[in-house]
Amino acid sequence: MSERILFHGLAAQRLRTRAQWGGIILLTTVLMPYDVIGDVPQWIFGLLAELHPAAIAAAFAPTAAGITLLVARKTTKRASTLAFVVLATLLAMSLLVRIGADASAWETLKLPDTIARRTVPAILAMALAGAGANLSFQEHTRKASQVVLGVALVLILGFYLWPAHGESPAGAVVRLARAIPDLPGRFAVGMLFIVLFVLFPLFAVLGATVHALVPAKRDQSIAGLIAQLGLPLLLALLVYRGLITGSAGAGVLVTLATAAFLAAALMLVTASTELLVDEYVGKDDELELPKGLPRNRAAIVTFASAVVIVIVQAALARPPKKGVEWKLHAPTPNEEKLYSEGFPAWNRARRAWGEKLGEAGSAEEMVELKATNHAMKEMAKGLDPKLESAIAALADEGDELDVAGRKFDRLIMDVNDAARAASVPFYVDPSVQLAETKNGLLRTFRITTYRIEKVHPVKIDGAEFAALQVKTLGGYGGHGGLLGFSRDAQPFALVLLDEIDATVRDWQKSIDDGEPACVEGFFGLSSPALEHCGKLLETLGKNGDLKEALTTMTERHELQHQVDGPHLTTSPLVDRHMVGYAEDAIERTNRELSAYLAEMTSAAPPKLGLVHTLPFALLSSGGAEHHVAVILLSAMTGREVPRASDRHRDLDELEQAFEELSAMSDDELRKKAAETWKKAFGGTLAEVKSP
Amino acid sequence: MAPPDSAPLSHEPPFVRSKWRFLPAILIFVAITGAAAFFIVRAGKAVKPQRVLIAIDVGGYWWNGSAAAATVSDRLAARLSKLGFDVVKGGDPEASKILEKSKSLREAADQLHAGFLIEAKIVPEIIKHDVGGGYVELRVDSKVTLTYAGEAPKEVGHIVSFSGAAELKEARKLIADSVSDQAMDAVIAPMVQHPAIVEITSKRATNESALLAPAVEWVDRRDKIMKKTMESYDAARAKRVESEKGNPRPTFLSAPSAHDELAGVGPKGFLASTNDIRPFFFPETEQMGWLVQLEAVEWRKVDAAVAAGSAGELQWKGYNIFGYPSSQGDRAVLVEDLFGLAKTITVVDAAGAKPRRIKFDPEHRFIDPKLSPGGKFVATWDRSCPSCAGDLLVLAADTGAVVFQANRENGGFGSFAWLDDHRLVFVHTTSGDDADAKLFPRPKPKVEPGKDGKDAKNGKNGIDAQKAKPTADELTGGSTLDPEEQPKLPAVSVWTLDCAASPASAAVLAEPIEVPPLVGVETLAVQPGGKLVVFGSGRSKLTSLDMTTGTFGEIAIEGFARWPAFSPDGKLIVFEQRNDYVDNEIALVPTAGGKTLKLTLNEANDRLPTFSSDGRFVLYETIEEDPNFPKTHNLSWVASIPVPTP
Repeated sequence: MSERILFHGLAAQRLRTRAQWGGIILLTTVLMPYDVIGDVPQWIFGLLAELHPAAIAAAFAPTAAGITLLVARKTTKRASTLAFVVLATLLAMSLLVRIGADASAWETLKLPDTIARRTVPAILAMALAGAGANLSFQEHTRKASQVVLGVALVLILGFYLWPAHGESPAGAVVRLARAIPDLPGRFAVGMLFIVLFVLFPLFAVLGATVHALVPAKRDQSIAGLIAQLGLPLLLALLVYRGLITGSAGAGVLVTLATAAFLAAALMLVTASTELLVDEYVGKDDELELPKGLPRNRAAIVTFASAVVIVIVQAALARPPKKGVEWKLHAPTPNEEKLYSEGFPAWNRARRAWGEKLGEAGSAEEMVELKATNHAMKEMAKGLDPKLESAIAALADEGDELDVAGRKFDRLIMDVNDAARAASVPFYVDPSVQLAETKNGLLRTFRITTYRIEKVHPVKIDGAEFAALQVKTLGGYGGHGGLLGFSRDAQPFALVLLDEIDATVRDWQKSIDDGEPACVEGFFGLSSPALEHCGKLLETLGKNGDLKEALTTMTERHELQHQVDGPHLTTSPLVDRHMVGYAEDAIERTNRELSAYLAEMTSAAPPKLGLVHTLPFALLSSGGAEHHVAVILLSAMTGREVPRASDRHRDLDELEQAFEELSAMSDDELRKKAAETWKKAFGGTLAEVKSP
Repeated sequence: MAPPDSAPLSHEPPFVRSKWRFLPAILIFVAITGAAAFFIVRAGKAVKPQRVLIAIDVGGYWWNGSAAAATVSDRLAARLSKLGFDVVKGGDPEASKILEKSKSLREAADQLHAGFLIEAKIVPEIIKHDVGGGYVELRVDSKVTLTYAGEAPKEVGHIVSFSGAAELKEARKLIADSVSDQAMDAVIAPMVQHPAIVEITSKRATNESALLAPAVEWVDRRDKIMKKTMESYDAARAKRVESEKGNPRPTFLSAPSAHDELAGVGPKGFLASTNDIRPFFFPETEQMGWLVQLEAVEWRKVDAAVAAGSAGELQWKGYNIFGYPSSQGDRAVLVEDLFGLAKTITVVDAAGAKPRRIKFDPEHRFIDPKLSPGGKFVATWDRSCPSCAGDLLVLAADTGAVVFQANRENGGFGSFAWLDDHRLVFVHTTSGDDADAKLFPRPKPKVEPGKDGKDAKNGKNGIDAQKAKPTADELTGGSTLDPEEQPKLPAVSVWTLDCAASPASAAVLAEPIEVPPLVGVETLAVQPGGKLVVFGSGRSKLTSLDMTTGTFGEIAIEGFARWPAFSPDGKLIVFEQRNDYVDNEIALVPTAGGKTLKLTLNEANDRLPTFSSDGRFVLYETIEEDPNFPKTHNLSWVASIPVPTP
């Protein structure tokens, strides 16, 4: 038996063994919690009814991958075929998860977002480094090993140096390392651990690339093993730490599973790469290959299958088209009673019960909730049958809500869908808040009911949307809250007329009092720009209907949110301004920037948008609206967008920017806003047309 | 060719890995995993001794939607949780589902892994009062049972409480606090002392024992305080017995912790009006307080061996009896205070009979109702406001019809008593105002017709019979004098009212007996037969009045006398002998006069003496300060002393 046959056989056997154990590990991921919220595990089988089909596919992707590997291990004759199956399966799995998952239990480590969200290149680099190190052992694969190690090095350097959200992982590491001396003892140790953890892939790959110059002395080199198993072992250390400190919980379980999963993926990719490189570099007639699918054909078949699966997932992941047509009839007394009394009473009872659940007893609140359930169902009798049925479902299932609120959203959406179909002029908005309390995780489920005064259907780039102009019921409106809002799960933009009324009332009062002000209250800041803002407001009030203008502007703002959806690419302006900020904050600012720029292109006087944003720029020091105001004022006047971390903000610059913009005409401003939007996000701002 | 002697080269068979080589490891892993799973599942299903399911039915359970049951459950759960027990949370949706679907509470408890099951069925007696637009009173007397998994239920206590509200639902909710307190009191000690819990708490330094340590300490603390409290009553009684210097010593017919009032005597014994409290260790505040017990009017035998602390023949039970009841034969009368919304005069015709409210008033207060011998009439003070002096009111006990009603105008009524089954004697003090005279419509005197119709005798008022032929009314005396003709009232006078005159509603007043100046006529008593009346006016003598002659007399006594009472044969008078305001004794004097015999000698306040119906005993009330609540509550005992034989 030649040496080549021997080592090829060993590689093949290694691949089959890893496919077996890797398949088992992937198969058992179905037993892991789908999501962990506040250390409370969420199991997939309890969430199936609430998940999008693409999310279900993503949830079961690792299990399906495991089954595929186990079947392939048994059925494939050639190891190369198995290797292609392994690579294609892992690729398809990661893409399915990326496209479809709305939650992942894997992200339980508190890593910087710039790193945590882009782990695939690092994992691939480590796997290739392991393969490359092992391939350096045999002479005929030595050159190829250098190529593989080179690719690994490029990948890992690219991972660390390529910026995401304005900062590269290397930059993030430097920033974290700089913070260590300022931290107290155990926090410094914890941060050091995170820094070393983040740098481990680099060390592992660099260690392996030594074998580009010095061949490994064994088939499975130490550097190769470190590259494959080092990171999983580090994760396992966290598990051990959790167990000995008594903080074992769902998060620890998930970390253990992550470690196992990572080890399986790394070792499978390494083994597959080794085998394929060995076969491609060597001559087939030197090997005693069994009869089976030729290599290239196997590659085409497996990757083509993966592509098909990914395409299907992408199609599945598209949000379902929901109708936006909403005709309104005059509300009947029963409908009025249900939405103004029944739902708010249910809301109060549900919240009271939810808040008390963690304590010794919440029977009183449950009895009250049951009474309001019953009352709501009684009020719904005689209404449209589907609406009645949806309300009955909400009443009956309202105490079985999952932690993340998926079921809650679905139940409320069903109510809204039924109302829309029956032309009932009311709308219900759901929200879920999570908070940690001394009694554990507290979930607060809320609904707010609105009367729909007007439905404004629009077409944006050929797609149908609608804005609902509403008034809040149940006594919750008109208290200086948001002027409008929009949720990705619903195709409607909401404009809150009572909040608009309250805002315009305050403005008008300040105008009537002779002290027009863009913002109420005394802030101890003497600012010519704020004074000018007040005068601008007064002029706008004299020249037009402030309420109508604010309504138009708010509608355009919220419709832009609908158009953008959850996948709006992050503007480089935002990246620059918000370096080091959490992903959520960046995303929120990004979306608000798009909407605030869009609202300034509407039929309403764009200077109203300036009136709205200037106070946020000058008087706040944080929050999405503040960041948007700073970026908007800077970008629209061609100024460099400052970094949010720079504490010494130049307020004068912002004031001057405001003066420049307020001197422009309405058309000039609209044009400037559209141009800025294009600069920020690329492409052209969508045009809103009424049908 | 191999050498012939050399053994052929041995070839080791090629090493073949068995596909079953991992089987032993897999089997061991499966065995360990299976065993672990088995123990985990078993532990998960096992009943936990410290876990408790509360199932108290108050118009339903909380999982059926009863708000009152939910309140009880939450409050009791909070208290038990504070002490370390793991209570099935009321309002938990999973628990609710199990409870709704289970066939029995024990099945639900097992599914919820609850070792203890607390049960009570609070079925209140609902009494609707037609006052203030409608008022609902609830009375509760329910048992509490505690069941441990695998054992039979044990009754561990009773919940006794009441509440009142405008609506039934509200009344149920109000009762919840008391129910949860009493339920906690009933169950906590049996739970802590149960072997399953003792097994946990006896282990040191375990998490579970540490969790339940507060419960053990709480029970210990409560038991010590309760023991001390109850022992203090016995000690107070013992101390009191010791302090009695009279000979013979009195026999106490009430329990040491009782508040009994002596409402009357009869062939059945004595009528006790009970107003007991139950000392209670409140879980919320961990302070001693009390629970108001159901009040009762009941007959008890004078025999000491039977009477002390035992329940008698119940005449009436309820809450908020106002003042002293009275009785005649089987019939009793009392005043009820309906939650401050109204007062009623209530007649109970016999033990166990349904009470009848014969008079009802949202503003007036009825004081000291007294049944006439035979029980046909009820006389009472009627105060139109809390601080007003009383008017006199006589009602027919069967119907509540007003037989006589006299507002006091500017004077005032003194004491009253029944002379016989239809005649009431009372004292009136006039202010001298002419209006007072109108209170008593005295009849015109009868005119006797002359033989020849011409010489009619004048009546007392000097009607000139010769001037006009007498009318039929004048002949019968059936009309009353005109107000202007009413003679002036004496300053103080004793009146007799005949309630049996026909028609029944027009009771007839006889001529008053003027009370001489400086003669005291308070707290009167009537000698059996109705001919002699005595007054105990806080003076060193009893004033007597011969009702047939209208003559006043005196009976000399030692000390100062109030509240006299005649013996059944009329030969002895017992009275409160006052030496100072606090220390009253009971004393005896012959009706005909003679030496005063002191029956009691102590430092307590003995009062309201009376003779037993057979004349063998003197019964009285005696007041003691409650040793546990000295400033806020008094004890009141009924005591008896045998009448000395001459």
